[in-house]
Amino acid sequence: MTRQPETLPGSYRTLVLLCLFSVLCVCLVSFNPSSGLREADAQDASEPEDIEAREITISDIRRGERLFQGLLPLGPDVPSCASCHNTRQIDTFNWNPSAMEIALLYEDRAAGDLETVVMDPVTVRMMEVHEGYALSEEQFVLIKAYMDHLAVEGMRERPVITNLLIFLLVVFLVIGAIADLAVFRKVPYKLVHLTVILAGGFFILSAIVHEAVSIGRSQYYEPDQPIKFSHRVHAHDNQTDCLYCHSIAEYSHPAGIPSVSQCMNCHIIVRDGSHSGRFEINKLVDAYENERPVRWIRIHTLPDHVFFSHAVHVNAGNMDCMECHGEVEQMHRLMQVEDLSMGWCLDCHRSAGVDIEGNEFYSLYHRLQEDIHRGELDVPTVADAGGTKCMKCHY
Amino acid sequence: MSKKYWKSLDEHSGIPRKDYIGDFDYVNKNEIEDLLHEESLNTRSSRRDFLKLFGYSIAASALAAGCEQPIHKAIPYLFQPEEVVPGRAVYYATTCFDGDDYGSLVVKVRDGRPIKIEGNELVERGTSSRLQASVLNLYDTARQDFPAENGNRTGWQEADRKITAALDEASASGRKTVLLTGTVISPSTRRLISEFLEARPGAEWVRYDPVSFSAMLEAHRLLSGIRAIPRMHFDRADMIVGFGADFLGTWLNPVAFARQYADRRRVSEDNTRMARHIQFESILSVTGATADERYPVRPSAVREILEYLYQRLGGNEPASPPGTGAELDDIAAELLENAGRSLVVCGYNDIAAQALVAAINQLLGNYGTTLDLDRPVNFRQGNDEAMESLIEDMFRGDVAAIVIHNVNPVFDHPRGEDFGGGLAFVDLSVSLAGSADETSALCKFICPDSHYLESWGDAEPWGGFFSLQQPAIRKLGDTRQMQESLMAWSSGESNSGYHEYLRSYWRQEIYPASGSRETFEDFWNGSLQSGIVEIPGAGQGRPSFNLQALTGILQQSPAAGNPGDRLEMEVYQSIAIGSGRHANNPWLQELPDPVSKVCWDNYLAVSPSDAATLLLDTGDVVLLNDLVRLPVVVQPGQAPGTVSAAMGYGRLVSGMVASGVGTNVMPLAGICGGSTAYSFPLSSLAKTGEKHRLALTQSHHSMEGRPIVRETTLAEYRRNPSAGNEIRQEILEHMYTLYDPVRLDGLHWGMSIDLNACTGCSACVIACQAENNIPVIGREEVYRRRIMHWIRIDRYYSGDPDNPSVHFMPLPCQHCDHAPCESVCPVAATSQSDEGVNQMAYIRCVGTKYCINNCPYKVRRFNWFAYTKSDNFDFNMNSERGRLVLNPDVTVRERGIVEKCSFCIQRIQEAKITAKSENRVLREDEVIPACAQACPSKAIIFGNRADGNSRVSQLFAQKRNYHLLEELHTLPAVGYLTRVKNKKS
Repeated sequence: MTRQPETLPGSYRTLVLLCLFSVLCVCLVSFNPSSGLREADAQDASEPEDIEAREITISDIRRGERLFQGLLPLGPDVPSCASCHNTRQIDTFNWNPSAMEIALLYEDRAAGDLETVVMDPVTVRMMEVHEGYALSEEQFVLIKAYMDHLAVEGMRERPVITNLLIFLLVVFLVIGAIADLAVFRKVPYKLVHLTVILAGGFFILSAIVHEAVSIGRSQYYEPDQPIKFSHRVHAHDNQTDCLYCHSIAEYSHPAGIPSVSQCMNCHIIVRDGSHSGRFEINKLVDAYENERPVRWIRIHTLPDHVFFSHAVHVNAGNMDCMECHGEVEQMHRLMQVEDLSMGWCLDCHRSAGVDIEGNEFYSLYHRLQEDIHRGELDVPTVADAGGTKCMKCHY
Repeated sequence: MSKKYWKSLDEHSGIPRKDYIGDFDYVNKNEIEDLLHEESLNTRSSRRDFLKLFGYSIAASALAAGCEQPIHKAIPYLFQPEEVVPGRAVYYATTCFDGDDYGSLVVKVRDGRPIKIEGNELVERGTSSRLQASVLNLYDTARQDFPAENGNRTGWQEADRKITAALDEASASGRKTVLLTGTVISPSTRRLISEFLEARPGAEWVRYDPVSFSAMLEAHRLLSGIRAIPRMHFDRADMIVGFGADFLGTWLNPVAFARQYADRRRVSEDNTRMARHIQFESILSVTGATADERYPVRPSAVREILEYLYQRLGGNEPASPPGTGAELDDIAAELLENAGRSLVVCGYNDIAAQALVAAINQLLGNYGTTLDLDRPVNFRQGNDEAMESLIEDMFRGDVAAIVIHNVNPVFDHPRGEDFGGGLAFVDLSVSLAGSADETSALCKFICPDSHYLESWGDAEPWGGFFSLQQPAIRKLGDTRQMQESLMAWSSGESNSGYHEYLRSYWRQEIYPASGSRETFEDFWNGSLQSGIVEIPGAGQGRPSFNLQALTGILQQSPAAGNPGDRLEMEVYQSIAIGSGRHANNPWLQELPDPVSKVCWDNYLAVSPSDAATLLLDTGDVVLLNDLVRLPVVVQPGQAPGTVSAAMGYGRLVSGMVASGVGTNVMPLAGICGGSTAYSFPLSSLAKTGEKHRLALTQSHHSMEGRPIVRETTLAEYRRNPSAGNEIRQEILEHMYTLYDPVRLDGLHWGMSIDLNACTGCSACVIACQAENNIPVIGREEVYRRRIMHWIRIDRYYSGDPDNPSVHFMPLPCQHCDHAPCESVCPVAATSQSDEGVNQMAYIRCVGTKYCINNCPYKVRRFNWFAYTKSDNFDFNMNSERGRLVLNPDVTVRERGIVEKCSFCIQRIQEAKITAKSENRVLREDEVIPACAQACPSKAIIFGNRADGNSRVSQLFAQKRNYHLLEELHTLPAVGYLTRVKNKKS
């Protein structure tokens, strides 16, 4: 569940690509996933034996992994397990449970259970996607061995080229250029030094500014949630009103995340998901039955020194949820669309009108009403009613 | 200004500030030495250092840029409780009675945590500082979280088994089992205790109060046959004479008394009727400071005065009046004039004095009007004689088992050491102390009681009036409320818990008596919601007094002889610490005494004339009776020939906060005539030559002799409503501005503070601290004048140092329309809002402190350190549990920024948001800042000045109204009402 690296400004993309390419080359040379499996392959040809009777060895786990990755055949024209159930952390949204999730779910269960679920599923969706797989009992034991191994070891981290690496690379380049210019004098053309120093310096400065501005902000943040809850399925496909689940948005500062029991209002009946089968809804049911609260990952967060009330924006401001949260009803995986910066708040407070006629509260504001009466003001904005003063949000 | 006001004795005598303890120069020198050691003074920062710093900052920013943001989890409820809405507070009515203070309260609970205490408006409108601070006791890390046997953790079942067996054995042995408690005002608990006593043959119940009213109870028993303390109605009294009773600060039920007292003394242009109050006392209490006339007297002289008054009122012609400086004949005449509308109260635990006071009140016909014996108060039931004989019994080995609840006699009884020694002769000693104390440390078992916010209960503070107590949080530790422990030990069979017991008690007793026509369930729920039930009962009857018995009492307790040259000492309760029960509360420890302005210590108050004779100065350590060492404070107004010190300090077994703070003075006190004597002659006072540095806030924030406090007399005020405030007219005439007027629309917040109603009780200070997450900084930092309170009580003296007039002035941020602080801020962190609030954006502040220097009122505070999560400031904000008390609606300030009173902007915003959301006008009573809400005498009124009909607008229109330093044209939003004294002459 790491944060997405933010996209870099386009002008440095070439540089970034170059760096990426070089780093990738290094990675590829040093990393060969199958190098450790050579010995195990040699044993593959040997006589099969009753695998369930003996201890699981390293080679079983390797064979299980190869089966899961599709390096050993699973059946005619069927994709590998890993093509749907990712074995590494990925950036994109995947409806299917990851290998890790399955591994954790079946950690305490026998290989036979895994076999039943794959080969003889009860749900329609599982039947469709698992059609055509011809796996033996022994192969399931191997896969289960791999999965158990995975449950302990954890998923491999996605190799991330962080901004920091790029930044340091550029810093070294610039230092190198300066050093060469001043001391070593290996490169005869001063234009090269100048270009590297200028371009590098510009990159360093703009990266610092960009990163400094975005500290504490998380625009486009889109993490995987512990349950693959889709706002699109709920709010768009099933037309659930936002306030059905986030009901306290009308009464309180936070909009509130519904309690598990509230989810179960519907899911006591709805047990088959349109995209994820039963796997995700079962997590909810499990949380409900075993009284384990769901640990959602918070996306929209304001700093502690900012006080924001949903209630006043929803009630008095007559605002639609989408105005700040974007087209949530189109999102399978929720993303923060706006940067939620103070400038962004103020933009709206300076342009949005207040309902001075309709809301009784503003009957106190005699001067504002006089201004409107005299025609000096058309529609008073939130700012006209004091909506840009510090104490509205900071106390 | 004809009168000279002064804040300290040095200022009064015109001595330039010298290098004495606690003063400015002294502190300043030290501070600089602290900050700059010699090494660092001699080095210079070089170009190299600059480059290092430069490189570091680049690297740091690069690292910061590469860092990932932390992942925040959002964990909703599994099952959302119906009444819990995240982000919104829920309020529950409950009751607090800790043995000293009673309060019918409303508890603010936010996300399952009680965070603020308010008075229940149905009973009293305010609270005291100790009640305000009681919520912090809940989160005290020093609480005993589990039952213990000989200091080792044990389980409840194990403890119950052993204790029950030992109690059975004690009953069988024929020796005594003693239940020692403080005053119990819970009727259901009283029944429970009687059941416990019945179940245990040989069991006996002893009640003990650290601040004993034994003499008052006994005097009433001897005179009227009722062993009770009459309920007092200060709101019915036009003439009040007090003798050493600090009824506005600490005596009996100060919250109620302050409200009643202030109501009877609130004057306006339409109502100039005002009660008159004369106080005789040796210490300078807030009550004496608030009185119209105050006479410093020795405690031993009180009896003589009372006898004279009694003779006088009885129509006799007594001998010559005792020399007190007071015209006793006039006072007697005034009392007679107001017969039936007067009240004489006495705070000395001396049976003769109490009997005389009761007789005087009876002569004046006050029983039945201002005093009510039909419905007496139950606050103090302790019997000093029973306690005495308990100690003897323990030494004789007559006591087989003792169960101690809510009292700490080893610490606060004059014979505490004897009590502790006696415990060794008791086979089974069980303490029910909620946190370890001196007594529980000597007990075999500690079976911790829960905090009142975790417990069920009820209370009958005075006859016919009941209030309920309900838990506001699940128990934090493995504690059990006292009643359940008693139930476990009185009956062998399992019980259904105290909650059920309480309900059935109410079903059987209160519900029928209330005459309610609802079903019991409705009655119960209604009572829980409102917190109180009043039983309609018989009106006030006049008790029959046998005044003949008075002569007998006076003969039996001979006058305490003339102490001659010896100093008389009085032990009193301080406003903050009281009996020392909650000494481990850092808010209370850092609350400056309203009069002496000392915090984090107790001290020996010596009168200026005695100090001159004995060559004592503030900070000198003296040794009393070769027993107790105390630092001296030269206290103007302390009666010559007397010294005084506060009890409750010098806790030895308590949490980190109270340990080593002050000295316990109770060992000096003794038993006299069967009751604990809190005043006694001192056999020796020796100067040790040592100095002790006191955390004085006195010389802080001096206003340098400008017309700050304005006062007049009632007679003057009747003639001219502007009396004392004439200067304001002059200022207003000279007022003009070059700036555009401030444009305010709709809301313009203002606060009016009535100096006539303020008693200096300091409840506002603690309420503000609780509401606004104000840190405690500790003694060392108070030395450096860094106290963080957003509202402080300024105290000014005027007149004769031996008996000065005292004036209290609560001082929050004045929220000037033309604020000097705003124009000097280089980053615009502080600015004027369009509602007249001087707003402070913490996140923008860079800590230049220009605003602090430019504020003429000195109300801005600087965070010198990170006071949260710092081991150097190991108070409530340094522990997970202690931080639970923080108000989530107020930012916890970071190091290096300035903060100040915000007019409780979070409350204003919340009320506005609610009103806007509900599409309606903001009601006046919806916005009340914490200080105004806590004020028991309602001296602070807050409201919208833009609305001409609001209370604050009306008060601002009074001729008594003035603004502080108005001549500076700061246009403050806080107004003060001139103090009016009801003085003769």
